[in-house]
Amino acid sequence: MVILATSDNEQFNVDKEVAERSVLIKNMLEGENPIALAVAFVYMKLNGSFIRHEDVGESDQSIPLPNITSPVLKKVLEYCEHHRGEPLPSGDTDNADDVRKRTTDISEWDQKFITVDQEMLFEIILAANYLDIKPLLDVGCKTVANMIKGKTPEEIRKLFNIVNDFTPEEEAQIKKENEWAEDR
Amino acid sequence: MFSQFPETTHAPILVPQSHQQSGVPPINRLPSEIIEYIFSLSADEDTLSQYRNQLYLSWVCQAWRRVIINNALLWTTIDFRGNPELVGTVIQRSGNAELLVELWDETFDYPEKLALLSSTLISEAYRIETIQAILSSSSLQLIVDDVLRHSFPSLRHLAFCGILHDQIPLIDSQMPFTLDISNLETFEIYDSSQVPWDCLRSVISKVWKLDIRFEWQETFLDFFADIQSSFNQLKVLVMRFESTCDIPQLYTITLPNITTLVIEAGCLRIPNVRRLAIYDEMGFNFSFHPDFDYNSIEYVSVTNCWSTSFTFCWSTSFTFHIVGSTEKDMTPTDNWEREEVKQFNLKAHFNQESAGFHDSLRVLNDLLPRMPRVREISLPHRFPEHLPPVMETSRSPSNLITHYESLASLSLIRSTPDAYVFGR
Repeated sequence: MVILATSDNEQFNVDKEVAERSVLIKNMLEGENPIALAVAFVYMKLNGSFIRHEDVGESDQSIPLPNITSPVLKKVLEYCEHHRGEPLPSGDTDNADDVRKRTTDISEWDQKFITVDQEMLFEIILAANYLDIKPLLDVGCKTVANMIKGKTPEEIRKLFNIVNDFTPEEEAQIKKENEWAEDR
Repeated sequence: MFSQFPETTHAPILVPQSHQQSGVPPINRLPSEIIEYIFSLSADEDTLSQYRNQLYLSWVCQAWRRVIINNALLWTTIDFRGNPELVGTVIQRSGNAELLVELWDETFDYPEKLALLSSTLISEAYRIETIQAILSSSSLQLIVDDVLRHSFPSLRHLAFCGILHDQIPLIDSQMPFTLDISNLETFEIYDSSQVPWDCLRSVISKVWKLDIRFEWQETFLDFFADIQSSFNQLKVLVMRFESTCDIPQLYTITLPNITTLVIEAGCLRIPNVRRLAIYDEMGFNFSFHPDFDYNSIEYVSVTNCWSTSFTFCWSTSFTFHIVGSTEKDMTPTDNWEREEVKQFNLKAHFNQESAGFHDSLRVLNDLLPRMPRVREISLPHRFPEHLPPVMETSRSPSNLITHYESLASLSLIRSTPDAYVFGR
């Protein structure tokens, strides 16, 4: 078991196999991420506890995740638990040349899982990025991409509560630049 | 991941994280590289629709505009069906990135667009990496002399992938293939009958990947009879069949240097074959096992390490056979899809000195750590009784089921944190 400690001081006991869906945690447990270890070290020192290098892989020491709150980690672990045992993506699967061929298909379970409010959605994306869980990051980013697809700028602003911060002059210039798109 | 440590590199696109709760929309707390990634995921298959998407995204707010305009990789596809101003904008925003150029028939109906196409192809020739031509031979003819005789030093991928409505060959024998293909790596042709085989032969002799579609089974068989000798560099062969094709014809094909064979077919007698990938450096004769479950196959990848035959089965779980000989090195190659293997069968011929047996164990010990999904291994040998079999593996015995025809009493005799040793 691995203990993960969130920014709001909650601790989660997690199967090592589940926790290691996170490449960051996997590397920490294997002692292959000295920077992450140093971060954990400083964090634990600040919190009055002490962490030794060899303790990171042991079950009685927690791994601090200072960027993640407990509700978010709970969701992330739900994802990792569901996908436990599946092959982890290899590092070279993301081909920069294949931008056009990227699919935004999301499996049924993942779709239900990621049906959350926007605040949680973006927190999950940030957590997946931090923890280096590529499949979860993809699910989150694909969800946002699907929300954006086919919408006008005004619809996108409304959807994400974004303020139009262009000056009238800029707006006019962009409108002219985008005339072709509006005619289609 | 985009940034390993968000506390140092997770720069949100609008405000510092300390200001996160001050009314900034949640989406704009994401780092710009994630926003970029989301934008790339929202890309549309159709380039013109994609242009519109990106223009709209650049119109949402200042921050998004900066992200999208400054990401040259989002602007590397040139489609001349858009208006000339738009094409100019796209080329400008693509910076110095390598370009993918799409040539559509309808562009050729407008002199203004055709002129822009020609001048752009020439001025940007130095960075055109891919040309996808979805056009008829009559359209192609219009740019052969002016454009396609120029040098395209960066051209690595050439595809003629349109549905050809005219029955005239795309490139006929009077119109020799004029493109500079010195650096060409891949060639895709929608219909093999549209290009004379002389041209095909010259292309195939240079590229490492060929993606070709066959209208008829006979075309495919003729193709192999005629072209096979030109497969000098070819490593990846993708074959797509439009009509019924009797897959047993593949049984006898010898592809000496092909490392990956992909078959896509809608009407094959093997109805759902989508992909076969076969890695072999030394030559192979591959055949389908009589019990091969064709219906569920989506992807098969097999590496043949000095084997003379092998059996492979289904998608994410297939049986892998190595039949080796002590006279040959059984060391597996590194480039195969170990993730797919759930069962592993190893059969070695061995001599009186038991070299085959030790080879088997060596191969097994080498492969097991690289096949994380293997739960079952089988060594269907009858080993000489006097041998002291010992197998070392870093895998926990609890998640391995071992089968030995003559080694039923084999048991774990020693374990360390790093290795498990079996013996009897």
